[in-house]
Amino acid sequence: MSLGLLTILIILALILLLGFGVPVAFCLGFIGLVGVILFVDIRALYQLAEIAAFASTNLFMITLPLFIFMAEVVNIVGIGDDVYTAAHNWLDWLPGGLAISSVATCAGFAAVSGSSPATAAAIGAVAIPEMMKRGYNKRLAVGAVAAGGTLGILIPPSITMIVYGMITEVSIGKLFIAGIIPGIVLAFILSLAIGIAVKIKPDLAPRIKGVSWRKRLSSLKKIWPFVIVAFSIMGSIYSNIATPTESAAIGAAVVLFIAFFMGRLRLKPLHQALLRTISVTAMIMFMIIGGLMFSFLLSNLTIPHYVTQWVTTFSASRWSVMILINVILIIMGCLLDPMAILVISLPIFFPIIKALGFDPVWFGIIVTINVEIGMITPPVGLNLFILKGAIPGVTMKDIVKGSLPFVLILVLGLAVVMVFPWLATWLPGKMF
Amino acid sequence: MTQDGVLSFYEKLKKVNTFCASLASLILVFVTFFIFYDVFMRYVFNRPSIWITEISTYLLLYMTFLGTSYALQQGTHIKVTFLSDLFNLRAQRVITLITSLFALTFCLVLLWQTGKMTWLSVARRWTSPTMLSIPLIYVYSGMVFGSFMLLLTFVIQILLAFKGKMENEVHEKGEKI
Repeated sequence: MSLGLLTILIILALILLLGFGVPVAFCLGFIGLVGVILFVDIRALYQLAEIAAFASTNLFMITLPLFIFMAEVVNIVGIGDDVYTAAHNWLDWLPGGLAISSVATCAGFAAVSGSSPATAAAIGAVAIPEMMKRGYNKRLAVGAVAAGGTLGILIPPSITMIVYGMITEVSIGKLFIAGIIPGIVLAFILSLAIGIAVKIKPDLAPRIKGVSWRKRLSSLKKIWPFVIVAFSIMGSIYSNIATPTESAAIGAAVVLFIAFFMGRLRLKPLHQALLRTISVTAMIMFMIIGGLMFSFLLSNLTIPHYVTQWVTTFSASRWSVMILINVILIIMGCLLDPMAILVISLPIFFPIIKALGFDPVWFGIIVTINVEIGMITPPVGLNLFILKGAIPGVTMKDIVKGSLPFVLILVLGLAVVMVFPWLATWLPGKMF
Repeated sequence: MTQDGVLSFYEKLKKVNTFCASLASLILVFVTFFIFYDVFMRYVFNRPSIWITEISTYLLLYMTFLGTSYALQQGTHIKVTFLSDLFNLRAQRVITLITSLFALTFCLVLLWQTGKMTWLSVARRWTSPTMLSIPLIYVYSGMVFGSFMLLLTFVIQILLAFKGKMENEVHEKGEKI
């Protein structure tokens, strides 16, 4: 059988099994196993044990449960509420001020949370009812939070980047730092778009009367937990005191201390938070184990090499390949969740972009923005589901229609980072 | 086993899974403070430890494998259904059964191979290639235990689904990150 046919068969098997509802982790692992038995050697199945042991004792992967745990405790403390109050007190004078402050809050909250749906849920729960109370258009309110929430994985820490770093062996610390500027740029573009939309159609968002300076300043007093946590994570990575793993532990420990001293640490919610953390961690770890098994099969059959060669001989320019990869990632984003996109696509895409001479760190940011877009595109968009669950009284139709314009804006942001790669590469270059 | 027998066994199994996940939670809290303490000692007193990093990686393995059957039970494992949505409910049940067998095969091979690895680590007295030189049986056996619990939970879930008694469908998307 030719390698081309084999590649197509494997991809078909993957689409079939995934589409018929085999959990992503087991699906990838199963195809890997069957492929190994058929085309390699049954004794090579032992690789599965090697992979499981390698992935689950990987020092960098400890970052994962620590950051998930931190985000859970951040929610217990209620940091999102206080930051939102401060943001909308300061930004109320802008057209669509409350929607813009939702985006700003998401961007800020992203600095203490590594997950997009967690960010959208935490901010949405405070911001959306507030906006609807003040007569904001429902769809604008929901869309702003859904889109703003996706910044959770672009602005460090980021669970997506941890998994990207694990699969591609790119430094997680560099990826984190690389996400900062694109994250701020995206937040700015989103805010600008909201401002322009409200200028054109003022009935989307009624103007709010000015807030007194006294109130503004006093709202700042409440955000100290946020400042401490964000500073302890980013500061420790950037100043090289700690590795990303250690900064995750610092972040989680600091939030726990804060929760304890604010008297908000109760045993039962903490236990629930821990159970959710363990459950999500095990899920992602299994997805990585399955993904690595799949990847082992591919590289054993030299498929990544074959596809890379095929792509480089047939395409006109490396940018047309890059654009094609982005289109595929966006389509995958409509159907799959971020982790699944990473573990499925990177074994094939990453060798291609390396062969074409693209910067691996920059590509990490591009992939991250792509999966962000995937989080607000139907039918499978995690942020859409989480908002439906978190906000009573909004329909899925409102959420989807409200998010759709923001998909275009995020694509614009993606294009900006592609045209100006230094947005992602400048800061990490300064770091080491 | 009778239908009710399977159900009551699943109830017990759920308790065991939750206990394992709680144990993993406790480990996570310890790891958090171990690493925090390590950075503190290194940065403030310039006294790095030799064991915290290594032990933490082993504990990650325990967290993963103690939590995996709980994740299955809670329906956290992510899946999509864009193809099976095209079929009617009856056909979907058959599809679910078949796809479950695929997933089950993976768990079975995982148990088999990690079992083999653990057995080898005993027979050949493997220890970690570090200053601690921990006998690797203590690390690898965690994988065997976790894979076994995963397999068991999976089998019981399939049995219940096959007999149509899955009272609360665990197949919905669970928590997402």
